[in-house]
Amino acid sequence: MAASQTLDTIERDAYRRSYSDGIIDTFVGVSLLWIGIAWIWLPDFAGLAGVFPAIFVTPLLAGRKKFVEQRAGYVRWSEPRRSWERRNLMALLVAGTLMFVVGVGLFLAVNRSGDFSLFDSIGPGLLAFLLALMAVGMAFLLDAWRMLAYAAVLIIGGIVASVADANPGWPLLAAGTAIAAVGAVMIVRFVHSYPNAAADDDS
Amino acid sequence: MTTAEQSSLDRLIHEPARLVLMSNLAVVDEADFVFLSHQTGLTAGNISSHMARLEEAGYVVIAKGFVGKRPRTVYRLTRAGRKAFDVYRVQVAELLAGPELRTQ
Repeated sequence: MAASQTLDTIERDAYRRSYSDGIIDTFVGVSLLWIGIAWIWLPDFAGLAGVFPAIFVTPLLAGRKKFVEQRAGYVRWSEPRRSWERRNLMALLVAGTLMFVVGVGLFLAVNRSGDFSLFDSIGPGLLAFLLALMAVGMAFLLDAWRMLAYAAVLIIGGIVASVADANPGWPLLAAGTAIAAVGAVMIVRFVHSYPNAAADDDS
Repeated sequence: MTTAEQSSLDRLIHEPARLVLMSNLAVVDEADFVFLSHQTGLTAGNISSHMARLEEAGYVVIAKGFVGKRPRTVYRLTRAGRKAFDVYRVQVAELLAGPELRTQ
């Protein structure tokens, strides 16, 4: 144990390591990639593209838990940590709902007024900006600051798409590719760092 | 702190490997053998023998079970174990309190 470690850093480092498997990153990246592809090449399905990640997220998280526990071990976090997780999850849900309500409100307001100049200027990057906000929320929820880098990639992609008046799918495709690649590297590193334990040696 | 008080440090916790195990268990509710071995870098035999000592003292509860076909051993600090660890932390903090380090 390093001399600079305290009980707080022991817990925090362990918590961060429990999300270092890269599965969530890969899933987020592939989901963005798929939505981007649908938006660009399958415009008829663009609206439904987000449904598939939503369907897969629950079985994926269950599978991830099993995968991580088999390799890195099982831990039940302390009540303060679990309470912190619940608070952040609630905040993320509230933020997501607010974003949805604001998005629908904006759409209705613009539709009613017939003034589409706002969407004309930022429209191509709007989806990327909203997803960047979600990435910021996940950074706090998972105590995983790499999510802020993902948010930055989405924002830059959104700005480029807005300036170039590109299809909104391009920033998602670009960010999705980058995030999925990072996730894949993390999975390989995790599997290498935590070989599958054949058995519990204390049994 | 007098010499007598210094010698009243809980020797069971004071041993380095057990101190590392107790520290890691103190910051979670419970954890299994695999998690602790990754966290501490201790060998299987070390963890087993030290946990057995801590269990004898009533500081740790050991629960053996299965997840599917895989055996799993889960460790948890008892209330007495947490209290003993807290007392130990206070004693060590008092013992080591003093002037600024000269080697900084």
